[in-house]
Amino acid sequence: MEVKAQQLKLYIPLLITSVSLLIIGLGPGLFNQTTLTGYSWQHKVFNLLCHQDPYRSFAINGEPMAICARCLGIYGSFAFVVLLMQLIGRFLTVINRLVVKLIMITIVLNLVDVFFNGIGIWTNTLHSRFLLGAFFGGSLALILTNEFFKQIGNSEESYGT
Amino acid sequence: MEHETMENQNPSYWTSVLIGGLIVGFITTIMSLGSQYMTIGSEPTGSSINLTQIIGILSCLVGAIGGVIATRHYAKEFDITFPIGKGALIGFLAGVVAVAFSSVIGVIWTYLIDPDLNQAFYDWQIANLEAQNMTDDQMEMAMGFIPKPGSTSALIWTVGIGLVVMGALNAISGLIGAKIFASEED
Repeated sequence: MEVKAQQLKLYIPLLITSVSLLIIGLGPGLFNQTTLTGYSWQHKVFNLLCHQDPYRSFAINGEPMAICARCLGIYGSFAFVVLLMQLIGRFLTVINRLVVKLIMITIVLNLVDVFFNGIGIWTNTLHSRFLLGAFFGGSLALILTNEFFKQIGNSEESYGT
Repeated sequence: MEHETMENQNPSYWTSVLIGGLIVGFITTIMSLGSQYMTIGSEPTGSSINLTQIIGILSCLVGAIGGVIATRHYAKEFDITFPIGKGALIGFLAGVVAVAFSSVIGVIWTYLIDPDLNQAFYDWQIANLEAQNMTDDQMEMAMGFIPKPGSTSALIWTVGIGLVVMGALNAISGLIGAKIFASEED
């Protein structure tokens, strides 16, 4: 299916912002900086936005990331979907009502995971937190696909071309 | 008459911006001050994680919803649809209002209501670093990231980072809010 790019003046800043947040969130290890755990400019940027517990964060080059595994999933999948939006728009028809339901489901899943982990019903892992965060972040970005890359059906004029 | 029509088509979004920004600013201020009091009331254990950061996971969610609250209010209040670009602007402004409100209340609180809070929190962080048995070099490096109480640079850092990060996150949440609550599509 063909897609028509629109509102690029909005899409490009969104792409730059989401990828920048992800790169900063990957922490000092990405830049080969050796720091004391929790003391880097990347950690400072996300200080008020994430608990940054090193035991609940992935590490690069032995340095914990500036965001936890769940936040990495959210920022990562959001940036990934924004980056691939044109491709997604080609192969997937995004229906807003369904994506809103998907967002609600992912919010509930994350809350349930946090709650049951908190009261000791189950113990989540780095990977499970990352995946649940990724479902949430990805579905948030998915709803914007139509706005930037709108599917255009095959018109009569395009037949035979 | 024409003026009235234009106003009806483009009602002011400032009330929505203020509502979204003030809700987020109020909650983050309460959580920030509350976590500082909880931290200084606890024993420094040497852990790199303190109560402030644990509570931060909640303010993360709260900090990013200003754009959604503001765009939802704007769309429902006037029963209108608007482009997502306007949602991004409304969200960004809500983030700025939240940071401004939070900073002003923080300054009033720490300068007028409880001037000892910043010093007590600073002392707790130093004690926590000492409990980690760091070398002098490591201590010096770590202290570079701990703002001295009442310093202007600390305030500028905090407000500057807050404006950029909260502004960006709320602009994104405003985009999404506009798409969900103010889109003409089903």
